[in-house]
Amino acid sequence: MRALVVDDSRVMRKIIARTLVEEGFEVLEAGDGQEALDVLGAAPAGELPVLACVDWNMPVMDGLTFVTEVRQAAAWRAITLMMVTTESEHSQIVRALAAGAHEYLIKPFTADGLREKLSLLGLTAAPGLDGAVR
Amino acid sequence: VTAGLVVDEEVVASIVEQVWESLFDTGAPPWYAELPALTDRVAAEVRLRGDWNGSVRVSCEPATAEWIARTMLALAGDDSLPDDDVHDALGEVVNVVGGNVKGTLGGETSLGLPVVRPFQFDGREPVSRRVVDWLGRPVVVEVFDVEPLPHE
Repeated sequence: MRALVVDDSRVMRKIIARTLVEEGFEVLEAGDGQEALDVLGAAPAGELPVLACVDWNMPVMDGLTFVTEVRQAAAWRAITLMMVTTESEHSQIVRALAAGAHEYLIKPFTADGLREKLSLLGLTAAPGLDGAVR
Repeated sequence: VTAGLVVDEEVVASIVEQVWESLFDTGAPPWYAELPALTDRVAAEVRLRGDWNGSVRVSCEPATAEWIARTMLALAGDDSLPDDDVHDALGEVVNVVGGNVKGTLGGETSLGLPVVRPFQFDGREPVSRRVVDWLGRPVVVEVFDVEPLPHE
């Protein structure tokens, strides 16, 4: 499974990627919405990420615009979109969900908080009954 | 100066505590001593504009900023760490603090992108300040109800 982390902070991309890798994802990174669109556009259909974690406030193209663009492209409809942002107001959450985001994680967050969201989205390999973790 | 909206000092302290716990997995103990004269300081600042206009600034000594970055990235002391990542980390700290300050304000206010540069005293007085003790060195978190002055 591939995930795309879109954030203008390289450090934040690494923090998010660390948890995603632990959850078994191969992680792609982009520093803004336009770069993320370029990454998606360059990916063969079978190698598209299943998940994109998207910051809101970024230069060049913000996360909300990116989400809107992705939702309008039929080829990318299967990508699950999760905003990961400091924008915590209810009105902003509503805007992001209306634009097509599936989940919303407010910074600051913990690794467990991110895992919980992945679990809600059905994108995490929870420990099996035998306790084994993928 | 923005009228009507107040940045509560206790709320800022609570935000700082939450940010420290989430980003650094540690508490944010207050700095009780008098703030020493820090001749070399790096500052990350983010503007808020709209119904409330001002900024949030986080500043500390470069060595402290490096430890903050190492903690965020879970790097050991001897792992290499580019200056860009140190600045990026401090920028992300102020971004998260600023975003959460914005969230407490109500109204329509937008958050800018963080700017990181050497600290420059510009005479502004914060409406709220929280100094955190980071391994014996101060990290200063300030909220201003005026925007930063343009720098060179």
